[in-house]
Amino acid sequence: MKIRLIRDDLNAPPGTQHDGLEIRAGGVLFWLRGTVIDVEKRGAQLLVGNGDAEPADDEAEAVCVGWRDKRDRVLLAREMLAKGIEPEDREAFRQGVMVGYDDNGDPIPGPNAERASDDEVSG
Amino acid sequence: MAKIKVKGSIIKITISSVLTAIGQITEFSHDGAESETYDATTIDTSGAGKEYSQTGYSEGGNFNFTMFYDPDLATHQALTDLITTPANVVCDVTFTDATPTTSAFTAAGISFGMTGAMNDGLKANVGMKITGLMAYAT
Repeated sequence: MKIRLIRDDLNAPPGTQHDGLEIRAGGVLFWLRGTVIDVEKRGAQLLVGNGDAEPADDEAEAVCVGWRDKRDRVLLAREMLAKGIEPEDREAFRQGVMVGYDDNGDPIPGPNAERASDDEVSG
Repeated sequence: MAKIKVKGSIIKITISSVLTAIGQITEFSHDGAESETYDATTIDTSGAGKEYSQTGYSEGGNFNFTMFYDPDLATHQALTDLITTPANVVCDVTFTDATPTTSAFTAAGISFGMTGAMNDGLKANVGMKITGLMAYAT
């Protein structure tokens, strides 16, 4: 069955050969976003369930039951994992108050940071 | 020369040729890697010091980590899948250095245990037996 990779930060084991790979810093092979790969049932369930991929054929769609319903929550959780969002900052990330951390570990304000600040003042 | 922070390090596991990040890890360690030696001391060795030479083999050691365990998380299921269905799996760790450096290794065996305590979240301890050697930066 086939799945489509939907992230830019997925790499491949050394020596993997596929048209959908590029070499990045340190010689590490990375999958190109949008690449369709063949996987077995469990691989499809885990990668789709982890927010790394989406089904790309009917067979994969059939084994990833309910993936569309969970999609928003799964993708948000996956993004927080990729950005290393601390548990205490997750609600702020969900609300768009912060979008990650700078090099000093300080929160980077998100699109709703100003509104949250105003709410604090008025509240 | 730099001191590399641990925050932001990423440990990944292969699922169907895709290396994806394992979530909720709190600490990790790599130990036991060593170039193997044999006792090369003989009765006519001069001095008191025992002598050792290289066998030409090296132990890959182990890669261990602790994480807040979520049985619903796909990558945590991928780890326990290796208990129920043993197999070699390629993993890697990406550090936060400027490159950034990614060191891959193949785990031939895995140990998995969990701990629950009233004053903490559910945690799991994972140990991986490395076959071959970790790909260290050179």
